Amino acid sequence: MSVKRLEPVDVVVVGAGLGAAAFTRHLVEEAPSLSVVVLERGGWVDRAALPAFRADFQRDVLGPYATSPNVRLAAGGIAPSADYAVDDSQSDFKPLMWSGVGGSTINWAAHFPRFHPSDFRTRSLDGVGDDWPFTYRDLEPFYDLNDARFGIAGLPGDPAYPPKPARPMPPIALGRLGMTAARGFDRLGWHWWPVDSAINSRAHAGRPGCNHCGPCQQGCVTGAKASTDMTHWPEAIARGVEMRTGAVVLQVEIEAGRVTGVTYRTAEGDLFQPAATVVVAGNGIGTARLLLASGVSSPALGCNLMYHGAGYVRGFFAEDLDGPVGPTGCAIYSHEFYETDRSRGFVRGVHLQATRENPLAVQAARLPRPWGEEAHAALLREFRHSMAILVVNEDLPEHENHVGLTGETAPDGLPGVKVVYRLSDHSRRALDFGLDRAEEMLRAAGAVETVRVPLAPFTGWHLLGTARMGTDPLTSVTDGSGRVHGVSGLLVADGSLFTTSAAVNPGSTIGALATKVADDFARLVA
Amino acid sequence: MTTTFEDAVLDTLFPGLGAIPPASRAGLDVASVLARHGGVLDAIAATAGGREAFAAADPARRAHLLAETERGTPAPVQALVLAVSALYHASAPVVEAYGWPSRPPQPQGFAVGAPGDEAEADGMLERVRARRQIWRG
Ligand SMILES: Cc1cc2nc3c(=O)[nH]c(=O)nc-3n(C[C@H](O)[C@H](O)[C@H](O)COP(=O)(O)OP(=O)(O)OC[C@H]3O[C@@H](n4cnc5c(N)ncnc54)[C@H](O)[C@@H]3O)c2cc1C
Ligand code: SF4
Repeated sequence: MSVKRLEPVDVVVVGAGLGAAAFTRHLVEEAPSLSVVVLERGGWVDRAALPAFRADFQRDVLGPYATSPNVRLAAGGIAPSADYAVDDSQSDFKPLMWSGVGGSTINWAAHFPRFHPSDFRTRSLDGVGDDWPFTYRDLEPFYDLNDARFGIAGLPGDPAYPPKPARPMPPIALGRLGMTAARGFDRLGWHWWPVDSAINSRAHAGRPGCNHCGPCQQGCVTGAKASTDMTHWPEAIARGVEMRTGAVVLQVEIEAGRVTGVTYRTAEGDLFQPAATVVVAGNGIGTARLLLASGVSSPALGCNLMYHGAGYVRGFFAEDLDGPVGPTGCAIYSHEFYETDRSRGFVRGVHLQATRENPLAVQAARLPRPWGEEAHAALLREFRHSMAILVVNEDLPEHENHVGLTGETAPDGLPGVKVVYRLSDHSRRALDFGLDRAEEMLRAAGAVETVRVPLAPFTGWHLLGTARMGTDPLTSVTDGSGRVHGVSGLLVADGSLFTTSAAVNPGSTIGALATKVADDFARLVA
Repeated sequence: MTTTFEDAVLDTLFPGLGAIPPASRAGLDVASVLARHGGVLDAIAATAGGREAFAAADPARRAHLLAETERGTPAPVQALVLAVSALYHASAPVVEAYGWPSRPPQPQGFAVGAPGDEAEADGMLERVRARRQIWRG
């Protein structure tokens, strides 16, 4: 197939997800004279077409709008997310994502915690993982900038964190579920706090306040939930960035140790986009896949895949807890057990988070015996009366947990991709400890019964570490500014850069980090 | 139109309970699901000694036959269960019988929070605030 050569540009960004948006939005401000083209495999979301406007939306949650791309593909796929299959048969967790403008912020839960300062120094403090090439203090100004661009609802004064800037909006209403959980933590004298969320609790930045409709992870129809197609891209495009959708990047072209551009596929054919700098931001799976396919040779590339270990305890209550309303992941959390305490038998810690109920059909699908009279009895007991405490632990980097190529060509023209991941003994110990604490808390909150889910497979929300930062090219793929070792002009700006994973959701840190990568790059080219 | 045998299978999967209608009377559009899972229906009939035998059995016996088929071929039976469950638990009569409105979540959304919540939460948070710093530098 002949490949048409386009006019050269200064910068090509691969992907239009969270990291790509934070990088590009900052770059256009700091280096406005650069020409920037963004190549995104998917399209823009049409909010009017999202499931929450349909009475049968629950069926979409389990099929075409499921959070797993493999489940969506099995249900026939959906246009704005240009999904590719991921062979996850050798992985304890199933990777979840969205492949379109906004990336996985289209279907994220928008819980927006920062890392703790200790998360950047796990080797120095606790002798595990590796230290990041910079500290919390170095990243702090970029956290602040990125927070302002997303728009955060939250409450100042949380003793689990160094002080953060004032939030423009109060937290999302806790509701009965959040209040019940808060009383449980309070009775035990444990830390709890309303979460920082990238969701408008009232009108802000031209978007409305959340009306607690529920299915955030199928895309927010009102726009109350921040996603980068609304928060970052419009401004970047207004400042001259060109966004090309339906553009699957097949190869980063490298000659004599320097990038020359990218080859990408569109419905009209294959094109070569020459560029002085290529910034890859396809997430922990998409970035590793593309760089491996492009022949980037780094011993750490694709390795050290981290998802976060995750399990939960469900508590059943006599009282009504509101049912499937409000943003699923945005109520309250506890960092009582976040920092290392060696007497627990493991280092690093766990994050506990109260999560809201799912719609009836989703709850029904998760029953241990989902049919017959027993199913009715179980569902009647739990629907509107249950709360799950999600336990997330710090997944340490392990070389064997990795993203690799399958050896076959996938329908999108790239090599097929697989994930190989086994939960470590460290994670198992930490999760078990966290599950014990979750049970204790649910009892204190008044739960009449609890059920443990020791490992929750469909929690592969966080795809991290496969192009990790560091100083040694043998154990890391990039330096602390996201520049790939040994390939001039090639940068990474997404979750794959993470040196370690902390025990909290990564979105806020991906945004801050990509903003820092852009800042470092802008200073270099200025 | 579903057959007596198909209705019997549907109602064994999801029988009625109080105000909750059985699957055969929940107005489900199940034709394509049943067609996709035809092999499972055949397996259930085989376990029962024929479609008529299954339809004629009492509810407890049908549940036993279905469980036996599930033991023999778990994955296909579970796939049928989940496919019917998605239709059944998303249908208006069932959702309403569980005490939830069958309207779409938007555009109305839902009200969350009670008047006293904020003050009570503030009181509890005072105790947390008083701990000043629990993060490590
Ligand atoms: C259901 C769900 C819930 C989540 N909830 C939370 C939460 O509450 N809080 C939180 O912090 N995080 C959450 N996350 C995780 C968070 O959304 C991701 O960590 C974050 O979006 C990752 O950013 P990224 O830039 O690494 O990749 P993404 O945002 O995934 O973006 C990658 C983009 O690259 C594109 N791409 C990939 N390969 C190519 C190619 N070859 N050519 C062109 N384009 C390409 C993809 O289409 C995609 O748009 C959630 C994720 C999911 C799926
Ligand atoms: S609950 Fe709020 S944030 Fe979530 S989808 Fe509905 S309106 Fe959007």
